[in-house]
Amino acid sequence: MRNTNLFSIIGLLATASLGYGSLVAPRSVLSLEQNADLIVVGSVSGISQAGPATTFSLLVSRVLKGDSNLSGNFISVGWMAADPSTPQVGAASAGGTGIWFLQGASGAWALLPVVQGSVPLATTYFPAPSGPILSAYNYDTSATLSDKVAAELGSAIESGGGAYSFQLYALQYGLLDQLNSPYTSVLYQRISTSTSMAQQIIGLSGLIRGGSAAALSSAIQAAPAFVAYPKENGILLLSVRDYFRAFDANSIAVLGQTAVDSTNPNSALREAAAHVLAAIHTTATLPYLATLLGDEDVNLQAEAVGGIGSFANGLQIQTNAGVPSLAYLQFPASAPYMNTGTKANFALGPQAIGRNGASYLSFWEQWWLQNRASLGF
Amino acid sequence: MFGFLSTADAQTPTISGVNAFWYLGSGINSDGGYYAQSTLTANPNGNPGSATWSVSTSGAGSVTLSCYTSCGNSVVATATHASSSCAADINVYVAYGSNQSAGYGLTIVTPTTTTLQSGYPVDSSPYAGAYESEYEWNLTDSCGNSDAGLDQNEEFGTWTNDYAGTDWFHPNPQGAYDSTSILVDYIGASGNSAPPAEAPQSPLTTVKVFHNTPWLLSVGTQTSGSGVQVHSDLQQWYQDHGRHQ
Repeated sequence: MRNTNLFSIIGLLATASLGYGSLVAPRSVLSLEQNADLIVVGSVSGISQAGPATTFSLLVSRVLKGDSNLSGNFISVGWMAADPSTPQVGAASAGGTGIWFLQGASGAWALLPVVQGSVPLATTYFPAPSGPILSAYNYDTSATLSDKVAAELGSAIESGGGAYSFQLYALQYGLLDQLNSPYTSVLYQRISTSTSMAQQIIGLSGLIRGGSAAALSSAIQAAPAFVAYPKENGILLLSVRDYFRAFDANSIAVLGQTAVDSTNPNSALREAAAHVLAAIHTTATLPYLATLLGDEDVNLQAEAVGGIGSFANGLQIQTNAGVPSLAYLQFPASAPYMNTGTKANFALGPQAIGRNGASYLSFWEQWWLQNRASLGF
Repeated sequence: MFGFLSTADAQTPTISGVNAFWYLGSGINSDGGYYAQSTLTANPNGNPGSATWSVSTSGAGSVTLSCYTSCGNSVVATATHASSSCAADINVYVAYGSNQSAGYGLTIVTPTTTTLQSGYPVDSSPYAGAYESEYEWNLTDSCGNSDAGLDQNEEFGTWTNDYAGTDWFHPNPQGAYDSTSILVDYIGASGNSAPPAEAPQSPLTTVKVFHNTPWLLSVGTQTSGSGVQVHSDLQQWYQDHGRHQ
């Protein structure tokens, strides 16, 4: 549930009767940084609404970007909702504290929402508690803008104690990592040992996205307990599946043992581990992938077919950043094990298994039998 | 000796170029860093004359080429349909006279699947007398990978009021650019009317207010109804929550 304490929502303006629905999407923090003229930590102190236009006062407590003299002063901010049918109320006279992104100039500040789409005002900024930043995230005035933003967000996330906020949780799909700030590492390290299980999962997820094999091991060991935190567990699984690409021997062993453990009822975790093995497809992944060819789970079979085929055809490691270019599907001019057979039987994804699964499985089982010795297995 | 090669001296021509690219919907050649076109280049390998390009398919994948006969050594292939799966089902050939290349396999990848993130939907009350139900889906493609950085849009189908005399307004379709692979939809209501919107109750109410079907979610553009459809369902507004069904 949304943390109403953070929002301190106590007011409601009269609105029409509305049913609303909207696709929404978080903006990247990097783009917010670049496009905002003023970034502040502040609290809403008043709000008025006329049709789709909302105006409110913001008491500035810290300035991250822009005129530092605004600190301690009120500024007036305007906002035009994306869809007039969406109510704009949601922050009121006593609350709405957080990190705000604004455009324009003094006297005519316009809100740059951190979320696109028709959302209430309460979803347009990163909620943060009033008061000073947590000491672990203190920064110097000479810090880079990304470090300042990362520090403030780190403090806000840690202060939230694991309470759900869409804006802050959305950052855990890689957007916070894009700041490439040491404060982000501080955040993940600190909350990975939090007494809040939800925060612990978020912290481990961040470390895993950064390639920490130790965090991966910890998360896999604690995975049965994490299932009770479905939203955070979803972030964890996606962090493993889409971001973890370390291929040291320890990482491969942890991933491999997780993927092939048919006694593990956590099929989502097994599939995430198998996806990483297929994406990496180094020689060391092959015994695990070959085992998965015989698994009952078709999704695991698909990862095995794709991973072994990617190895045999000399394809690049698949990474999240490389998805748009599809560079991981570009066949090289030559590769030690590539031939017309390996190219003809290359396929990725469950759709391929669904169409021609038996043929692919048979080919790659035979391929493994014929080549495992030369590969050292 | 002069440096001319006769056809008899020439070898089989070859093709190079990006062998996997995207289908993003009719007429959409790019979105973000995703491209639905590839420049293919022939090496004549000594064959004289102009190039003749051709295409054969063994599945659903299809492309059009910028030139078929009397062409230069490069053509642009544009995806017009996704491959049946994440495997090459298109072969492109180039010929110089009677010397034809081997087939150059192409795979056309497309966003295909939305998987509800665990823990969703989340029902909340942003303020008194209002509710918000939040859905998050992860978008994956025909190769099984998550697709971040695409435009998205929604299209509403037929509206039906379930609650007699309701005065709840129907929303307008929206589009947005998504930096992540997570597609998010809010269903919400506020205000006092017929019936009054409520914060989520425990248990949730079964009072239906109105619904829309089909609700279509597409990616590749923010233009409503265009792009590649990745999700379709019935969107239901209840008095205290919303659901995709």
